[in-house]
Amino acid sequence: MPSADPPSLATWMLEHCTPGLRNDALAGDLLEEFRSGRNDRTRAWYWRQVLAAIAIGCFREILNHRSAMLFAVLWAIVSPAWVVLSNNTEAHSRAFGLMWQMDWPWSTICALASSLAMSLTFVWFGMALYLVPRMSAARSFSMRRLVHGLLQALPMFIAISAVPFALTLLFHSGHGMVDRRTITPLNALTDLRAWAMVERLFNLSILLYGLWRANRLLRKPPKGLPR
Amino acid sequence: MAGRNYLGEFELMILLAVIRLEEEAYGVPISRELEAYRGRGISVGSVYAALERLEAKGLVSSSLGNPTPERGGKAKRYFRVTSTGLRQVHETRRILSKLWHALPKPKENVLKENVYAQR
Repeated sequence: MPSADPPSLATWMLEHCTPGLRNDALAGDLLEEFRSGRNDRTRAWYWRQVLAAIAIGCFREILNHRSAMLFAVLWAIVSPAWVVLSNNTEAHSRAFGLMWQMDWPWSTICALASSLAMSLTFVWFGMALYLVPRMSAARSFSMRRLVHGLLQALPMFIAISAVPFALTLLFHSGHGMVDRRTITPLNALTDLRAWAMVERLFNLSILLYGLWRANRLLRKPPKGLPR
Repeated sequence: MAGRNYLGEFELMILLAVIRLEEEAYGVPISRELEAYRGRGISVGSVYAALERLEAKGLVSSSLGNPTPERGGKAKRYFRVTSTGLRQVHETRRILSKLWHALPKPKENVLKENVYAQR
């Protein structure tokens, strides 16, 4: 006798991985059809329906956030130029010179912290460039909401922050991976080498995640504002 | 006249199914209706995506029914065509009918080839 319950993993995925669609009614419909007793309503049919619903939900989210996606791609393309600019600034800065004179491990810790801070500055600057006009157009701008929006990128940034560290090592190494003496910010814009592409991918991931979460946050009406 | 939003093929099919099903228009019967008329399976998720677009355009409205144990305690979402949706459907039918009537008649040999191909 066939099971009256559909695959539990598929049901869990339907309820947790389907952005946007009305999950409860859809889940109820699929369960009703699965239990209808029709020959063609098998476990394979249920899986196909769930996977299709997830794909459709994801596609709709992409469409709903296409301007954010486009901005994230364009801003990420520029990121190697920011790396070169910040490294050139570092090379000519007295403060950074003092940092490198510190004893290990403090010099390494400070280098890592400065690298992370520069990366986060780039991400937040881009997010602010995207969010401020949109918030102003929606008449919902406030510093608190902007800061709340910018903080949406932090989880992803923290999760993959090993990447800028590795890039710092790659970029500063004297082993011929990248000779920073010959790179200008303008050259970096069109650099397609591994370090530049990884930098772009890193920033793209954070920007996509941060802008997607910030957009969802901004759709909610501001709290405490008079009507 | 104000700008018109023309219905896509799938959206039109869903609207017609919702009209036909009257009070029982929710995900399962709408999907079954489309499957029966199209002759092939359909994704219930795509039906909901289209219904959400139609509701955003004001062509259908929805309401929640009572949850039932057969559906795992989940309620049905019933859909109804609005007056705007009904006007849109009839306007689309009018335009499609005009286009069909304006189509030139196919040549006889083309018709015969189609008949032999189907045998």
